[in-house]
Amino acid sequence: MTYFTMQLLNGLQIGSIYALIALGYTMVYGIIKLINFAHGEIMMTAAYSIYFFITLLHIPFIPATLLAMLLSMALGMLIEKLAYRRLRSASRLSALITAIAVSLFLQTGYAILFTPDPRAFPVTASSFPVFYLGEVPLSSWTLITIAVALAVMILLQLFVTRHKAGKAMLVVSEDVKGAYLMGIKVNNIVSMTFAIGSALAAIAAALFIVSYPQITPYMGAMPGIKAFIAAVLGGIGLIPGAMLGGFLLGLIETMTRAYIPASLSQLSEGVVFIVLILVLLLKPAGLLGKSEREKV
Amino acid sequence: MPKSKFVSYSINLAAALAVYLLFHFLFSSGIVSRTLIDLFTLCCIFATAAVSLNLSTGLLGELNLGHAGFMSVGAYTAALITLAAGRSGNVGILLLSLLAGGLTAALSALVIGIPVLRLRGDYLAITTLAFGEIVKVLMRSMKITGGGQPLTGIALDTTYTIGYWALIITLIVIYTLIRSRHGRAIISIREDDIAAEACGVSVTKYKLIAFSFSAFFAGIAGGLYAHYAGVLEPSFFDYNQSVNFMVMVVFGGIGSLTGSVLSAFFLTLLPEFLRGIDTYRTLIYSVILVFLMHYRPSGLLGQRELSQRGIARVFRRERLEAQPISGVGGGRAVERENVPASGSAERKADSALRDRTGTSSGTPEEPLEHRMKGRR
Amino acid sequence: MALLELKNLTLSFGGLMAVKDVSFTVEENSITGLIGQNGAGKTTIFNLLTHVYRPNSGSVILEGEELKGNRPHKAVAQGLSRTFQNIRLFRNMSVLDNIKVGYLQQGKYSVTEGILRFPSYWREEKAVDEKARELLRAFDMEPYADYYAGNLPYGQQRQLEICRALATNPRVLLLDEPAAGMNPSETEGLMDRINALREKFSMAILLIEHDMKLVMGICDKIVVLNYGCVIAEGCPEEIRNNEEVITAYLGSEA
Repeated sequence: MTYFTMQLLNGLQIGSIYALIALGYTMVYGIIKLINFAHGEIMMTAAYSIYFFITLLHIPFIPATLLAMLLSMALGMLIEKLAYRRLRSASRLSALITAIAVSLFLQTGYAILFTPDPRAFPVTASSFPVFYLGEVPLSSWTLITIAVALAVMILLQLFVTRHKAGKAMLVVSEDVKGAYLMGIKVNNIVSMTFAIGSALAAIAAALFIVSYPQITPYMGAMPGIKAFIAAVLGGIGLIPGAMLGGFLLGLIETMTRAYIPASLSQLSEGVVFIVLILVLLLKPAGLLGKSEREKV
Repeated sequence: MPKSKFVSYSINLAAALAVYLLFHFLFSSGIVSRTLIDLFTLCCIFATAAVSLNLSTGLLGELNLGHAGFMSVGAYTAALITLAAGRSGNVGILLLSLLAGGLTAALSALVIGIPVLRLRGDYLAITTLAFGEIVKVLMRSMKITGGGQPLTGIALDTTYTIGYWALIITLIVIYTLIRSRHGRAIISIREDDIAAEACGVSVTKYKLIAFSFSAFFAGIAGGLYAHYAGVLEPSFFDYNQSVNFMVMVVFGGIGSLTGSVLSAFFLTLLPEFLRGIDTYRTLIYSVILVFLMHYRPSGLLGQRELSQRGIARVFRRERLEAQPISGVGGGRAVERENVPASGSAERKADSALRDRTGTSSGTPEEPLEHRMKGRR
Repeated sequence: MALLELKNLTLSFGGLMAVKDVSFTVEENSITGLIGQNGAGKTTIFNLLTHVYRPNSGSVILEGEELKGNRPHKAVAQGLSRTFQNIRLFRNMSVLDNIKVGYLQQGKYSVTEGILRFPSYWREEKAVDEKARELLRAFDMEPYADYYAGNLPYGQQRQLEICRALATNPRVLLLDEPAAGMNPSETEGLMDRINALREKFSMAILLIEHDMKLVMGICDKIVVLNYGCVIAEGCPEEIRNNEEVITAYLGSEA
């Protein structure tokens, strides 16, 4: 039971991180129908930023994260402007290939600039106190991760339902041409979407590297793909979907790894991909999604 | 068959034979080093992989990010067969194992394809990625494929002869497939799958056909690679490898088989000759990719193929805007850029206008020649 | 017996009733017009007929047999072919190839026979090539045969779409706003062609159009749709004078 609860919390913890990254994917896909393959790399660049702020500039963790958020937002908006904006009317293939190219660019760029050698992040989860709930050890860091993620999500949800710009974002997701005609500055809204998504990825990075304190240029790839799968699981384009999908995928992954017999341990790596295929086969619109028919 | 076609085919085959003999004499004469010969063989293998990817990504139009997975299936199948058979140097067993590898890969494409190919665009791309990763995980976890350890001791039986002719056969089969009614169906799906379906094309069936053929030749390429390297590791056939092949296809021209061959050779040889540039290679590729997608999405050769007519035109120094050409089984239409379509400003505005009001902004009745010239 | 009969077709998208209890017939060798405001459900009916959508209830009967199907390509086999409101051509294929795709279902040679270039391949390709060119000739478009479809002038693109649909040898041809974006002289030419079509190929034509001159000019019968329901069905004279139709759509005559 103790083991189960521990794994449950672990699952929710990594799930929070997936959820935060997934939000970036889902918002961008919702608004310009593009899978931003480079999103995982935004998380990676944020990790490096936080690392350098702390180790080189001796800025404390939270301000470092905030600064990294700003940098990520700038990077996200820059990528959108330089690489994606012109391709909005181009074929899906071109856009996807460009996204992959940007992702490669960031990975190799950072590998060249900062060498591929992993760097150890100085702040680790073990430096946070551990409580005991009955027999279950609770790392306060785990709780912090989940709490931060939830808080951010609530803020985001309020933003899109109450704030004018947030609502504009939803409108553009529905119908770009209509939004234009309504006087919404679509380009600005798209930039804003990328900015928000990138900021969330930066927060996710901060939470991630404390638990997994190894920073490499390729660290964003796997969490990125998994977060995307989470977004699809919950319903791509839907903000609550990304949240639900993130937590769910984190749980599935952790539980599978925890309970799978040792001989099949390799397979736990592949379980997220099996989840993806199952979702796409059984309910492609995702758990919270509605099947949309394309108007012919 | 019509006499002109017979002549044309014979010329093509003769050319392929001539090229082979050229390399054969070069290689067996001892002028060329062993390393270069091996490099040539590797180029042929990768070109086979790239050409097969062009079928699913370039001609069918579905981004396939798991191509290396199909290669992996073919590689391991072929390797296990020859390992079991024991003898090395036996061409017959090698060919059989390659065939088995190709068929297994094609089968896996069918198995994964039947449920998955009704998805479209982005979703399909991600699923192919997932497929590639699942294959990698499977190969790592099964005892028979080494269980996480590299599979060693594979007979080094892939010669440049086998590599070259495998490539030629791949090109021939895919070329003839495309220049047939089934090929037209496949391309129509890329152009507009909704319209294709409305014309009677069973989109799911033809996607399956395209993917199976694509996987088959990828499997053969994988088998060839297994007997080239002698060692197989699951992590060799990963997402990055799939991306490598995708880069080859995109550079060479989406829909151009010749382009895929050329860029496969170029991109495989380049790092060998520019050793120092290795780390920057991917970086440069990614930048070039972005530029290509923005300014020349159809890649270097677009949809063009090396053809007898094309060569003749160069000799006659005719401009490419010249005569439309026709022929049985699909003519080669006059040049046009834009595959995939990137839309000029006017066309965009015009179509936006049309979408909204159902009228066009007064299409001028231009003489036909004008229409053809202003396309770059 | 009518060639095509729609019986009580109903389709709703979530809460929105797109098409409600729609029933009308299309007679053999006739040209039937389907008119109504934008959003009245005309294209939706086309989509229902070609299995793009599945109706919530109701049925479609062609030549006495009820049509069942769930993929659009089946509709072609059943004898229904359509064009699109926004032109959907295979832009990077030649004009000839566009039409040849329409002949796909009538082809017989298999993938293997094609690759190995069996005699059946050469035979069929030659036949298809001739048939496609003949179709182009009927529309005065043969000079365009090898041009990329995307490079055609707008009017020719519309015509090409009709050619392509004709290649499938339909019993009923569904034309979705074929005259959209055409100037009066082009529209006249189109009218003549559609009439000629009716004579040359024995089929019925169901036509969605907003150009009243065209509709009144060539349709034997007109069906009027409003908010998803049929509000009138009759010959052009009747429709022109129908009060409800005038209020809903036509407006009083200028």
